[in-house]
Amino acid sequence: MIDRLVGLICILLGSGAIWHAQTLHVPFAADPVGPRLFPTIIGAILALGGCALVARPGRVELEFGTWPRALAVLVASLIYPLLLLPLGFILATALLCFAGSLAFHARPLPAAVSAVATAVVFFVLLDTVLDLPLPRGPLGI
Amino acid sequence: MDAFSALLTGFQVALTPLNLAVAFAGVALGTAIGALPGIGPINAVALLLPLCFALKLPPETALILLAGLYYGSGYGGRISSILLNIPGDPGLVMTTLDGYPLAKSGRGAAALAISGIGSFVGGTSAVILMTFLAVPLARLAMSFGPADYVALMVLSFALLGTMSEGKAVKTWIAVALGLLLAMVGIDGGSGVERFTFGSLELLGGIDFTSLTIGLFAVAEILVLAEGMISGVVSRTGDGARLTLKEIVFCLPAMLRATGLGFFLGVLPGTGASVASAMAYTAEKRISDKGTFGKGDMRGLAAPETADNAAQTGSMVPMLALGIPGSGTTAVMLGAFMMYSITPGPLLFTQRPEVAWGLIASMYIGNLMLLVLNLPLVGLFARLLLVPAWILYPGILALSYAGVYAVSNSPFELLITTAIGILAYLMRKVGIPLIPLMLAFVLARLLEDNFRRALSLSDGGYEILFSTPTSIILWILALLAIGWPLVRQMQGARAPAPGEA
Amino acid sequence: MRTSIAICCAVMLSAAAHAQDFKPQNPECIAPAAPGGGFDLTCRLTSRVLNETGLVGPSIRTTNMPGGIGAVAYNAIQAQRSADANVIVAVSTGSWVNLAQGKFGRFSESDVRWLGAIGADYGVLAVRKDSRFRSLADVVEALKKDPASVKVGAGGTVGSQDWMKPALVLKAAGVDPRKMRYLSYEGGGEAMGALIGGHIDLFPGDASEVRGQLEAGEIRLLATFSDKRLPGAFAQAPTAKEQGYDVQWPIVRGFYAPPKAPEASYAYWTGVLSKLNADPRWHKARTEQGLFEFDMVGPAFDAFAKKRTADFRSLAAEVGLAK
Repeated sequence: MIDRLVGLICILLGSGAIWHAQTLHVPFAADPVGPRLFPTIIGAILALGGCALVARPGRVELEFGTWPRALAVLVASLIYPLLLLPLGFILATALLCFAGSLAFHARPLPAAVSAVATAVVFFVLLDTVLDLPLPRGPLGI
Repeated sequence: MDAFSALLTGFQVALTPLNLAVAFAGVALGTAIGALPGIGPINAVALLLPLCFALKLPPETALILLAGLYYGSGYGGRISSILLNIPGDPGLVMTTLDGYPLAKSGRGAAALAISGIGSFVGGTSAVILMTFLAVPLARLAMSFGPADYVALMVLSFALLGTMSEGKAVKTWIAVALGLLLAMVGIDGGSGVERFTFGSLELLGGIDFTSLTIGLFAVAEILVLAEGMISGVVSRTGDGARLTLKEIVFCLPAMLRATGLGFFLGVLPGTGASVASAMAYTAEKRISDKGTFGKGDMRGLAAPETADNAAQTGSMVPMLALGIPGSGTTAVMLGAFMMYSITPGPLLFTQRPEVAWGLIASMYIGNLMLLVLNLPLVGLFARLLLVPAWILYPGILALSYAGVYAVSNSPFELLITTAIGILAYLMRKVGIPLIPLMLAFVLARLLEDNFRRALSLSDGGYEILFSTPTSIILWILALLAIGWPLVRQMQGARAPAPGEA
Repeated sequence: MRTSIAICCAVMLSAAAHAQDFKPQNPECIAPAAPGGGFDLTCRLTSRVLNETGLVGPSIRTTNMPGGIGAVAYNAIQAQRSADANVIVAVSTGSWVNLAQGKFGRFSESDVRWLGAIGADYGVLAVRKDSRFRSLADVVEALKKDPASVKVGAGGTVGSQDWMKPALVLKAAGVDPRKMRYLSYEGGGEAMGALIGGHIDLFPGDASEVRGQLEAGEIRLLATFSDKRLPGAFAQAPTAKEQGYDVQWPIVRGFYAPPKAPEASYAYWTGVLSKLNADPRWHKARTEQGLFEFDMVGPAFDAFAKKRTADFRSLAAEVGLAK
């Protein structure tokens, strides 16, 4: 069942790639091959692989552990880029670490302490030592 | 004898107290910076370049520092690859395959030690080759044409078949996905944008480092957070120490990997990541008896050796001909120019103290790295004693911070996370990640050279088999594909060996 | 050149008038490349000299913002920092080429304030030492006979500046640039390798990146795309102009400021760049970067940037590359 679904997605992706390659607007032929050939072949491999999977699916058991924990890490990862500029590197990174630590079964207080420490250490390492400027928040840190 | 006496003069330069200290600082800093995910050797070299200038270091000293950083960074990254299954740089992905199983079985320190020894063997043998054969080797590499690259890439893909585990069709799907991801961006041969969907950030394609971090770091941490698999936290890596017998056992693999890695390093365009991938897959094809991927020392030694041999190899065209064969050596060329040294074929005659001083320092630097790293393997293995709730969120944050620091792009972080989600789902449905990664590495090399070759022949396919080198590589590729079939046929007669 | 000097003097005077009005706080140079890229060195080295000579007091930090030869930085400036007085962004001819082809999104060359140039590299046309081509005329003749017989290879994509250089030669010779057989490599180093290896015939590179091979006699230069002959090792190489093909390709390196940067900060930064261009310490640092003199600041640079972009736009439209 799962394999069939994966196969279908591959067929869709593969055909999408082939379609995209055919619709490329090539102003002029600078080389005899052109930019369409490779995406087309790759799309075909992907779609054929998908067909094979749909035709002869294997037995895949989807196993998820305590998936809400993974989801929490994922959501924190997705919000993090949006918080970097408004909050600054240290605060945003500390929040990411805090959420991550909680997902890995930490108690709130130690998690908060280690999150702040981690963020400060990384800031010093990248911004001060390696001279790669990182965003500073409203408080100038 | 000429190269030998020149090398002696080089040692006179490299052995001055200042240069010794700088070489040590370079390799130590390189190890530290290499351990940061997302910040690779090229960034390390570029960031310290202005510092060298500000400190008014003489040219040979500055180059010794930068070179130390460059090959030292290869050492740093393997710590998280082996102990945590999280490679921070593309060249280190193959290290995880046998390194992590070793660490899981409690032999983390031994794994770190053998990879350190492998790196030393690879680095030092490569410097020896460079000392005596730099100029002819560089010339040979330049004669390697588009058709030869195509055949080399076909061989690489043929070797990729060794990575097939479980259903073969899923390996093919992974390969196709990797190839497809590599197509994103502006196509050089036509100037056309492919799969960018109007995004300016995607014009340059998907960043190699972001891909590595998304595929391996983000996905691994998501899976760990679920609690389905446990990290190696239960063991501290103080299992059986590395024995001399094991080192000797790995020696043939290391020597093969040195040759391959050095050669791929000297070739412009192919670097450490192609070298470590080919070294692993080739070694698996040659000596796997069902032990690779389960903690075979040779499966760890081969990519590590090749990685360092390739890094040293990529300096050959830079020193001998003034042609950068990789991004990092291009930055080092910039350093030469800032010191008003024109890199090029005349370097060895005009500024022998710089060229030979640098080469001599690489002998010393490799030795320093070994001496610095071997006593520390036990300490590094203690990393596993850090509680998971500090370690994994910290690595996630550090990965993102590294990506952000060199791109200043929230979009780049989202791409990294999106690749992480893809990799997580792929793991759930049993599509392997490594073939995707390797296909991504090889895709552009294959397409670009295929199209260059046909440009040269005005569309005639006969050019693909037009040189002796290309024919040899095609035959090797056929052998790589055919060998398992032969073994299967033998296996049908004799009792089956433990092959999946 | 004399007019531009006059303009520079005028800028310096007006800058002096405004200089008291503005002092940068935490000045920043945005390099639209990853650490190690060309823009990165432009920012880091120029900042270093600006600080060492005391032209700018507070230390300038370099921020990397790679993507699309400046496209990502260009858009980020418009979106987030359109009035920031403390930021300057590195730019080169390559950015204008892409800007002209609509690869910078919805913004045009009028959407930032062009500050000034700090130097330039020049395009050159290199062949291997034993090449059948002895002069630009030989190449043109071969191209006229059969454009596909001459294999050109360089580090940029089709439509990039490395492609534009030979395309202009073809155009000057009356051959359709679209017929050129162009091999795109990952960087000039690989293309140079292919030239020395004998796989390609022509390498339209930059002066700074071919110097080592030129001095060693590995390659010959058929032409430099400069107004006058370049100094030093390049003195023997004729310009395209003196061979009858007026093709010039300076790879200008300079800076721009955000569109709504205050007048006082614009005057401050143009003043700083003018003084930098006149400083002998910069002349030394400029040579170390492989750059030649290209002294153009303020309104002159603004006009130049817009003129070049417009030229590239019409060329791109002619061959069908513009969007």
